[in-house]
Amino acid sequence: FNDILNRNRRMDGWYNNLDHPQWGSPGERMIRRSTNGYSNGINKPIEDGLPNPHTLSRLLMRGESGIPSVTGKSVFLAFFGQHVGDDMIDSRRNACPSEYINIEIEENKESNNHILPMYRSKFITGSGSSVNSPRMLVNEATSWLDGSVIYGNSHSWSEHLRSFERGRLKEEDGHPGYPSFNRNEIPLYNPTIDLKRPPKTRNPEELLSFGNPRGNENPFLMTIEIIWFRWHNHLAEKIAVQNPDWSDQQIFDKARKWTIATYQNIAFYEWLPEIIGTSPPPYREYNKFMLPSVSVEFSIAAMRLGHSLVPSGVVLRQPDCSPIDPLPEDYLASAGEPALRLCNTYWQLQDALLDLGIEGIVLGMTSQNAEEEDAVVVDDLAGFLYGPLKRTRMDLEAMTIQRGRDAGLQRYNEVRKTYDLPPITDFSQLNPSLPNEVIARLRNAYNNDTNKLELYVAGMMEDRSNASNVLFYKIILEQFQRTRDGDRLWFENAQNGLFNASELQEIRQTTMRDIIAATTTFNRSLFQPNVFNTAGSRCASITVRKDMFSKSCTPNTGIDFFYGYWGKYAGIVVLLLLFPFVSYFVMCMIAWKRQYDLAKAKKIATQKVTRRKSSSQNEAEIESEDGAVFSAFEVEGQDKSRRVVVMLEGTCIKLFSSAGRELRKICFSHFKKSFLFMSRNKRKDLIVIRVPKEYDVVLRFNDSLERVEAIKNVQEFMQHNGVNVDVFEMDESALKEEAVTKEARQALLETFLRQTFAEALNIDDAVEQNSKAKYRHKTMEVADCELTQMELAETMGMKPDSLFVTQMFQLADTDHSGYLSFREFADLIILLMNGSPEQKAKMLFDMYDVDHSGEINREEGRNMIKSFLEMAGANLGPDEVSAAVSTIFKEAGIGENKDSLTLEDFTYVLLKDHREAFESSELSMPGITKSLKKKMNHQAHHASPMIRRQDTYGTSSEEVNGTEIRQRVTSNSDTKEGKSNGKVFSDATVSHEEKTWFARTWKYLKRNVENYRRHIFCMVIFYGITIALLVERATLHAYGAQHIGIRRVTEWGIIISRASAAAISFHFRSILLTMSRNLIATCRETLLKNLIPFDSAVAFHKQIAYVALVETIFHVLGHASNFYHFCVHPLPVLACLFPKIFVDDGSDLPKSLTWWFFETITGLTGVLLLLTISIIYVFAMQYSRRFCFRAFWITHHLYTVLYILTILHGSLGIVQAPVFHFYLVVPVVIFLIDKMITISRSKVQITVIKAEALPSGVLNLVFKRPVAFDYQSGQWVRIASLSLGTNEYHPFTLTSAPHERYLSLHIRSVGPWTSNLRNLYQTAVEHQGKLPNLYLDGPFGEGHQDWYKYEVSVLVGAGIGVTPFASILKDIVNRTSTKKGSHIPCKKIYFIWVTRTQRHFEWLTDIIRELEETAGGDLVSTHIYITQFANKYDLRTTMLYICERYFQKVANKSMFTGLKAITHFGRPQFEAFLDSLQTKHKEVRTLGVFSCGPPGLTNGVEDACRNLNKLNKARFNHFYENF
Amino acid sequence: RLYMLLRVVISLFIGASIFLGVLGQDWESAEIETKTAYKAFTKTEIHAKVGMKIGLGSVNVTLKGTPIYQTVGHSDSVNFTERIDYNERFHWAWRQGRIGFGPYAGRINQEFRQAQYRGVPLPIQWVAEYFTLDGELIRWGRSYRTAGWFANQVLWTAVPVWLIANILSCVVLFYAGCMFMVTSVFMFVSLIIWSTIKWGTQPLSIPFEDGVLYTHYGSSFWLVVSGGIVSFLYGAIIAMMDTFTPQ
Ligand SMILES: Cc1cc2nc3c(=O)[nH]c(=O)nc-3n(C[C@H](O)[C@H](O)[C@H](O)COP(=O)(O)OP(=O)(O)OC[C@H]3O[C@@H](n4cnc5c(N)ncnc54)[C@H](O)[C@@H]3O)c2cc1C
Ligand code: HEM
Ligand code: HEM
Repeated sequence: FNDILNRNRRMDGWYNNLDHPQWGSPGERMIRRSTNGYSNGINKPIEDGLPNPHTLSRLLMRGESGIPSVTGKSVFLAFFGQHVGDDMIDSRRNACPSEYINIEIEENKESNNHILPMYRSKFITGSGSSVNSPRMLVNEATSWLDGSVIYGNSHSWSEHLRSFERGRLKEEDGHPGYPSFNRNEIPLYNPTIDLKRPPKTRNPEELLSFGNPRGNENPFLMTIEIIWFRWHNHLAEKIAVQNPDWSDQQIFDKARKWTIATYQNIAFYEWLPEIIGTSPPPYREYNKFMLPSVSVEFSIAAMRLGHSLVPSGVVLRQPDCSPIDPLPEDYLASAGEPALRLCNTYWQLQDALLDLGIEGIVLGMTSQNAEEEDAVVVDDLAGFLYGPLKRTRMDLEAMTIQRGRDAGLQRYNEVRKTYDLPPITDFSQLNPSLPNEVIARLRNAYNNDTNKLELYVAGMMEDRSNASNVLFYKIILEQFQRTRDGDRLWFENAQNGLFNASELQEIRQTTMRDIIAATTTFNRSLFQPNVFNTAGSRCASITVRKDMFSKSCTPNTGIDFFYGYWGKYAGIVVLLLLFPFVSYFVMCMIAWKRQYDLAKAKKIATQKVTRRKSSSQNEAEIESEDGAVFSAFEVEGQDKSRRVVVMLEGTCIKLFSSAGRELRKICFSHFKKSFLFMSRNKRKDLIVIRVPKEYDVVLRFNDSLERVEAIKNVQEFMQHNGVNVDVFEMDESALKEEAVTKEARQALLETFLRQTFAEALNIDDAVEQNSKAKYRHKTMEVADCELTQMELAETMGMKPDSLFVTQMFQLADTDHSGYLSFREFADLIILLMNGSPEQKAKMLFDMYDVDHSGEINREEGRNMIKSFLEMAGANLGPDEVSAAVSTIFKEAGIGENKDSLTLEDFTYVLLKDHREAFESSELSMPGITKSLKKKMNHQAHHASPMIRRQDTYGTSSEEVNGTEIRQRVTSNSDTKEGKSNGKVFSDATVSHEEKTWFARTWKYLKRNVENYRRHIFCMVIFYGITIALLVERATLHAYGAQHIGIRRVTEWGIIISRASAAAISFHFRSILLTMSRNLIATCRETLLKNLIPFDSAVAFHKQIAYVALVETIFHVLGHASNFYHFCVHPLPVLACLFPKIFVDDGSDLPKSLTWWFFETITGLTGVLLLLTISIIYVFAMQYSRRFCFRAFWITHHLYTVLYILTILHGSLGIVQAPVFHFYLVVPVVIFLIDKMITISRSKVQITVIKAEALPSGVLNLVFKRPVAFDYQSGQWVRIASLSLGTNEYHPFTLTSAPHERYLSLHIRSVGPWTSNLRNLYQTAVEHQGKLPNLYLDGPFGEGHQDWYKYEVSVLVGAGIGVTPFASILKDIVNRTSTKKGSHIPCKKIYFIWVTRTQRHFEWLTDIIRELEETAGGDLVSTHIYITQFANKYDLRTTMLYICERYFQKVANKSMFTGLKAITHFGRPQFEAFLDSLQTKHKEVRTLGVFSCGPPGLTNGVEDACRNLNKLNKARFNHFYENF
Repeated sequence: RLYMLLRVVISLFIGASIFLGVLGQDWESAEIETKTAYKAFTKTEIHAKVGMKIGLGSVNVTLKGTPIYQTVGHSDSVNFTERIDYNERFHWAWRQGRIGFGPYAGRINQEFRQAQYRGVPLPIQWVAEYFTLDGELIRWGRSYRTAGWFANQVLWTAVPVWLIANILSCVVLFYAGCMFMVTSVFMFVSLIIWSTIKWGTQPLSIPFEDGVLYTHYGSSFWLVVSGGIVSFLYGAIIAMMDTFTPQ
């Protein structure tokens, strides 16, 4: 079979030439016969000095149409030319990235329809980038005359056209003889909009499948395509009949071989001579070295001369030659009588063709004269060419001229020279037959310079009378010859063995007329032998002029791609903005709901108690028959009130809390006058009972009825007691103003106390001065103000009925009025402050001599001791108390037999050893210290004894004694320390401020830099990387990736969005590392801790998150702008940028905004990401964490969603290959492993052994230590309670020491979880139930494990920062007391505890006490600094302080804390303190200082250490941790 | 011991199915035996098996003569006995690229163009060419690239999940069970992706003289299916056992 050889004419033109397999294949470069004409010689379109293409087209190429071709060329020839052109040339693909060469329509400059949009053509990549390789266009068609318009120019394309039956091409079902509709959707050009659904592109299925991607362009071209289609099937049928045993493939091959051969024959020997007016030279032989590539002169200019032949329309004819008139319905839409108008049928009429057949059109085309072959082009092409959506009507001629400039065509004269034709020297030589005015226009346009004349313009105007002098003819002939001679498979090439001589003869004799006759139903005789010329046609030619048409061309309707999107755009922006607001709203709702529920729960709880209480109250009422009980709300202040039960009983009004505790008691025994105020407007539910000296009883009732009832009761009560009541009614607002509520009273009291102290201590309090001026009227009140016992107790923070308070009150209340007047109180304080030791002792004696017998008996003594202990919150058994009393008695020299102490005895006992202490005890007051501070700062580091003397306001007696820092009466007080001669300076001071703002700021900065050097180091690295990433992406998109072209489309958007995306990626990955808790816990034990501040992980986490938020905002803004650009740029531009998501189907229509946002993975996930981020961030706000931590915690786990979405977000790889997952991999692995460790640990249930509710809402939990739970003192764990949700973990510091068998925590109730936990265990304990188990995760955090490496260590804890020391202290004791501790160097430890009030950490005192009680207690010397004292006159603290100083010896511990530790008031002076340590421990060269607490404190310590280290004495190594 | 062994085997099977799935070349395959043209410039046709195996990131095209040694016309007069046994791989991982065959074109287009220059046998070119076309709904290259890309992504995600599941099975069984189920979910998702992301309505079919290459799911696909099922069941059983019988 020879036919198989034919198959080797591959669809894609490959392997035609044996040595250059790619020659003639699609995608090959075009060639240039002349030199290039680019204005820069490389790639720049020629523009300088050349006229506007549209103007040229308008001036030169328009004119009278309807002039028939004088040579009798038929319309068939014109459209056959289009067919041949499509076979050989396809240069209409756009360059990527798109480069605009829009044509300005000069006359439309004013209107906004002044642009003919155009892009530069695709060129060979690499060409046009440098001088030696000018830009060269690509030909996407095979250069061969090989029928690729019939079969497609790729193998797979052709297979989509085949039916695989009997070698045929696939026919449309029900329409034999027509190709199928494009249901396979082969990639045809499809540039038109769907008229039914504008501006949607047409459904590709409405097009017919041809081998020619542009085969549907107009019905006449389609007609010719269909003829060839039928011809193939005709041949196939013939072959199949002849060879019944042949396979489909064989038949197809043979039919194709014949089709191509006849096609080549007709195109070359029938059509070509007709168009160029001369016969081409006969075939000689195959020239293997002939390059078939299409030249630009041919493709961009010469072959386009056919434009001038095209008529406005074709008259359809019946077999009798008469025009089909009227035209059938199907044609009417796009037609005018009697012809089918070109401009209205572009890309249309497929259905009509199938229904009505092509015969009429064929006959019309063969019998109608083409337009005259001159420069004039019909309007259908020159003004009404189909166009993109932006401009639906284009100008083909302007475009062709522009295309020539794009391709760098050489000028007309130059090209003439290359084709061996003489150049013209004057415009008149171009074409003598042209009217003068046209010549003049031409001359004018080209500045009278013939060398500027462009190839296409001049070529179209050339004089065609002498074919041998026509440049275009020469170019065309040259091209066809090369195509023929270089084609190994040319039908005449005998060497290829395709056809034998007789077959060749048969082919040569097959004319176009034969083919038409074979493929149409019309009789052969209807057609002249040469259908390319109307000569001999049986039907007379009908001239078609544009005024014949009943319909003109539809006008240009350019659309604005973004029209109608502004609303959507705004909508989307609003939607995105809504996310944070909505989540904020939801968050607030949740927080609010929670607060509400909590309040309700509390209320229910109280109501229960009230009910219980009130029932018992009722019983009480029955007992006191004259009393009345009612409940109300006592208004305590502006918006504070409490529910109370008011009882009128005897002479007193008593207020009980709903829990039954007595809140107030006002007795009317002392006075006979009171006032009753009632509100008379609003709800009429308020009354105020005013009694002298006390603050008013302000009561609010549920309604006025209840009030009426209450008033009745009160008045009866008053009457009963003989109290004179004045009743007033006033407006509620006035009443509120008038009433002295508890709050008002407290403000008053505060002033009262201040003034008392001021007087007692002779302090000139600046604050006081101020307030004096401000509230001058109040001073009167202050003088009048009297203190109740209840208030005294409250100011001291003690129970009102405690012995100490009662005794103190009675002692001070010299007139026994039941109130302390200002004077009385001041006297008391003065006595305490300034009195002689004897006076002070006497006061105490009087206080505890309850029966005023002048002696203190044992019972009274016991009470005294008990009262001290009670005050200190300490507890001793009765035996121990008795023992203590005995000690006192013994010291007084009184034997067992005597039972009471006289005042002398008492004074003796107290003052025996400690007279100085009593004398020197004063209070540390801000006012006093100030004057001394300057001196101190100068001399602090050599704190001379003198200064110290002056400074010892709050110093304990040992200063004076010069022996010990902590005085103890116990036998172990005379240990080795006792002998050491050093003194410790442990005074308190109040920090001072730098003078100037600048100095302050500078100091602040300096300190921060020094303290945060590790932070700064990490920040620099972290943000360095961020910036590097940003810059890398930004420069890439700004400069590096120009060839992608996205920069030009999006302006700045892409730079911003990509750069920020890189930074986001980096940040969101790093954020995981900050939460790899186990990793951090491990790393902080290593040397890395010197570089990285692991403790700041959470702070860092937040910081990263916030910065990432900013980056995200930039990213979104950037893309919002990009998306706008993506919506307004036409499809071809986008297809270049995003080949992954777009294909240029010629339609121009970009995707809509909503598509970008909601129908791409990237856009949709972007929107979802924003939602997720909004939720995460809003719920991570401080407010939310404070009020709905659970919601925070749950929503925070959306981070998994966030990561998944982000990966999906980039997965499409629209702009660049996705990278986020690369960023993420490592951190995710680390994080997951970390999590797994956590899970493995936390899934073990831990048995709670002991739960104890301690005062101040602290819960002490003791639980089993899991196996292999190793920790260091100071570390923290996270626990979850099985009963409170297994997923909610809270962090707590371990207060047990590593050596202990069990773990313990001290948990303070601050919020719902901790409160619930406390309740849970409390009820469990009460009901003797099983204690609920725990989940445990940890340990985390740093242990201060180095303290024992120093001979002397100083531990400083402040505020919450003290918790780790609980554990550490125990650890210390353990280590030093056990044998293994004997060889650790640690000799002495100073523990400094700074706290606002000691009350907040009562449980710690227990631990310290425990510590002191153990043997190792000596090792640790504890100093407690109560800072609150310095700024607030807390009477209790003052009293305790005084008592502390007096009675420490008696009880062998501080009365205040119950500890042996010394309590100071004010802030510690670290420098002086540490300095004194240097002196005390002379032999120690290096001391360790460990501090933990708020930054202010650790900074202070750090400063002190640094200053001292400068002195070249002992060295202080400071380690700190901020809480 | 037996129980441990069983667990190890099951887990290894799941892991293997994931890895073989990700790396495997046989998600879809097709093979026919046909008469076909072989090379340009000659008349002779050959008998051969033409096969195609599609993986997530590439397609393997094979051409194996039946018999392997066949006499092929070299020119009109010279004949050679040639060994016809070709296996060419074309990758699309993962760039779509611009239309055409230039430097910015997709990877498979460039590889195809290279193959043309190398002059690989015609049937191989024909098959490969199908993946280079990209227009309207003839977008097998695009379909397989996209589907392969997402399936690949998702399946790779299953790897760490599977690893975690394994680690967890030494730690907390219940979570391990969940993780195995998650693994299977990822596997199923990748299968769904692979089989649904297709442009166009028609399956890939490449006609040859004696038949048409129709693709069908291949061993890699079914391996992942079975791995997914096993993983799901295994995970479910573990999780259930852990909840109902805590020890
Ligand atoms: C390292 C560290 C060690 C701690 N050690 C102790 C300790 O030894 N003793 C002690 O009493 N308290 C300690 N806390 C504080 C304790 O974790 C919180 O008081 C407790 O979690 C409050 O929970 P809640 O639901 O009862 O209160 P909420 O009202 O919900 O919250 C009160 C405050 O605690 C914070 N908080 C709530 N839940 C958490 C949580 N899961 N993780 C972190 N913060 C939370 C909230 O932001 C809020 O500011 C420590 C905290 C940290 C960070
Ligand atoms: C969108 C960005 C964020 C991501 C991806 C993220 C991620 C995480 C992760 C993975 C954890 C650990 C969870 C765990 O251990 O199970 C965590 C914890 C935490 N995040 Fe974020 N986070 C983000 C933003 C924020 C923000 C804005 C804040 C608050 C300002 C914040 C505050 C916290 C805190 C306080 C914790 C620790 C809670 C604890 O230790 O109990 N995060 N975050
Ligand atoms: C509506 C909002 C958003 C839009 C329109 C948008 C758009 C985009 C686009 C078009 C890309 C390029 C994708 C590609 O190359 O294939 C991208 C990448 C990226 N975006 Fe967004 N985005 C949005 C929101 C977000 C948010 C909220 C985040 C934060 C997490 C984010 C993070 C990223 C990241 C990290 C990348 C790079 C992905 C990668 O390379 O793998 N985006 N975004």
